[in-house]
Amino acid sequence: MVEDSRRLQTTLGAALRRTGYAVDVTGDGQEGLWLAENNHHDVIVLDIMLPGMDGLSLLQRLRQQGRRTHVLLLTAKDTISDRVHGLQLGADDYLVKPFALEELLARVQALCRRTYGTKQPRLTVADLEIDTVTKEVTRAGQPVRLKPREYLLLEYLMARRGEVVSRSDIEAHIYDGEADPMSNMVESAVSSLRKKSMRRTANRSSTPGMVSVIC
Amino acid sequence: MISIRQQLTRKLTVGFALLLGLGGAVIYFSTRTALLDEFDAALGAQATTITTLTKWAQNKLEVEVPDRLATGFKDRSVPVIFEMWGTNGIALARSESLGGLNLLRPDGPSKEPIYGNITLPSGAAGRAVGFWFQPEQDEDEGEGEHADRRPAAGDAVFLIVAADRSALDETLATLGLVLGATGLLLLLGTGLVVPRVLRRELAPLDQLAEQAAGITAESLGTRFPTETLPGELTPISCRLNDLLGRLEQAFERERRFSADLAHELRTPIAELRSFAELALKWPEAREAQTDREVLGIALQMEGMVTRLLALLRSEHGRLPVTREPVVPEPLVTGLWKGFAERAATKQLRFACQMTGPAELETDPVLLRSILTNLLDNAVEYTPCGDLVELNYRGENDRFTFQVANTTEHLIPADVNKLFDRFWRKDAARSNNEHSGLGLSLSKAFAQVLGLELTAALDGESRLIITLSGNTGTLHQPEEGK
Repeated sequence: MVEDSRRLQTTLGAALRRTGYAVDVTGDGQEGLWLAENNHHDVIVLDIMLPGMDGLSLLQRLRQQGRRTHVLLLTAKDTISDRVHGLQLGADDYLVKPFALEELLARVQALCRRTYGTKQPRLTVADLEIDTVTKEVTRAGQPVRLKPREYLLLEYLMARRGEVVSRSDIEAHIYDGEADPMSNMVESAVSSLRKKSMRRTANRSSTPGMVSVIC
Repeated sequence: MISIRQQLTRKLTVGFALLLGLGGAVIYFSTRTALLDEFDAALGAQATTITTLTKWAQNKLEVEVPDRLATGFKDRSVPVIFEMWGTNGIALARSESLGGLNLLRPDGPSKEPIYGNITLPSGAAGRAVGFWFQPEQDEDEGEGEHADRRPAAGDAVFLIVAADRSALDETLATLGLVLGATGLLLLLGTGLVVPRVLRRELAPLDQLAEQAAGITAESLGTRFPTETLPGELTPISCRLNDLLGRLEQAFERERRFSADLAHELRTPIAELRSFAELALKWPEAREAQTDREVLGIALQMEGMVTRLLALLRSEHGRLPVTREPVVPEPLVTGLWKGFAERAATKQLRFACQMTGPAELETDPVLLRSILTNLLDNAVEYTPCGDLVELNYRGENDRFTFQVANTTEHLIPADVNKLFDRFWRKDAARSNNEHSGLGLSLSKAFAQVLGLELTAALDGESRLIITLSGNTGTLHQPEEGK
């Protein structure tokens, strides 16, 4: 998210993280460009009027470099010509301030789905199915309860089905740069997820904060 | 509705009718005069001929009128008749055609020929000439054809020669008829042609009106043609274009103001909304800092609204102004104290020079607001460690406050925009502390006080903002005050 309002950085960053996204936040256009060039983001939420480099120039630079990251322009500029100009420069969506937080989250989610080539809010692999809107997971029709990070990991892996997903990709997308390169955080999460999603019997965990897995 | 075309048609037709009437009258009367002169000349010549043929013979008047003359100028269709009167009022001779009738009796002793219109004995209109003359004395004393009794030998005789003027009157009547009919036809033609000509020639005016009718608030960029219009309309077109230019600028300024205002409000509203929605969606995410942020947003919006209202009031002349004596030095010193701490954190240097120990009569609140804003901007935008200068000079009836500071990003083109509402050099407007209204508000306050606020950028990238006035209210403070 490239947004120069410190308050919006705080609130939107918190909302996106709580929704399950790993978020990089900056208020400077140049820094935003650097982040976009050096990471594989699913979506960029981009303000237009930014210090350093304005959002439209940033967008233009990204498109000129052939980067196809989905961009949601988030700006106070509300005229039709502003919107058309933004979309013509390669933006995928346009949201005018002030906006409903839910709408922003829904649009970001829609762009994320498009990133992985699907318009369906449901992802299915064999009898494993997840609803990306309600965040519900089912296996053979039975609900599977996962921790938020486990859900994000499962959604990410299912979105990239058939691909080899590297550890660094998972760290960048799920752990928001918090993962210690030396830790086995990713491996343990994958292991846990595999166990939960493969179980055929339901258990309810007694550990606080953990959810039961019903297979 | 008054129509230029109708008025022109009416006035041109009336004018043309008057000219035609005048022209016709001139032609008619000059022709009439010429014909009458010619007629009179012929009559006079005949009268002269008769006088040469008239003699006193044996105390009788002998008139030997040749047949041609006696019967009139038949070849010219002007029959001539004459009559002669003696000084005793007795008719001495007359044309045979008169029979026993008289023409006119002599009227006065004038020997100059007198011409006039008469009614001939036949009842026809005629013209006559009459004058006194002295017939010659015939030594032969022969019998004359028209001998008559002689009142006194050698007396003068009054001769009246008359001719029928019916032909002349007919000619004049025909001329009058032709002129009248021609005038009427020309007038009719004028009535038909003038509206058409006017319609065609005034077509550019219609086009101008049509084009003006098509201009709306969205098409103020339209300009009227100046090259293809007639010379008389070009100045109008130019003035209209000037007016459109001013309107376009005013609309653009208002549009930009509305857009800027909307933009300025959108971000704090978005911030407020996101704080509220985040807290509603994830109550546990609410932090203590949130309330402080919300208060900050409210204060920011309140400040903006307050400034806008003040701007609006000053622009509409509803700002109360209370003039009272103000001594500049303590005012400036007191103001700077409020900025000293901020200036110190940026290691700014402050130089203040006051010359002319004068006091001025103005509204201290508004003056303080202006100077506060100027110093606030100077402290905010002067690079760390640089100098902020405030100079005051008062002499005679003029005073000048000058705030000067170095700038990093301003270019000469920015100077003209400094006083625009919501203008900020930083297009991103990331700094919520400044709304871009301060300088426009200061300028409005200055105008209310009758002062002038100007900005200039010198060659060393120093922004110099000058507040000056020539109110004539400066005066030296009293001794010991």
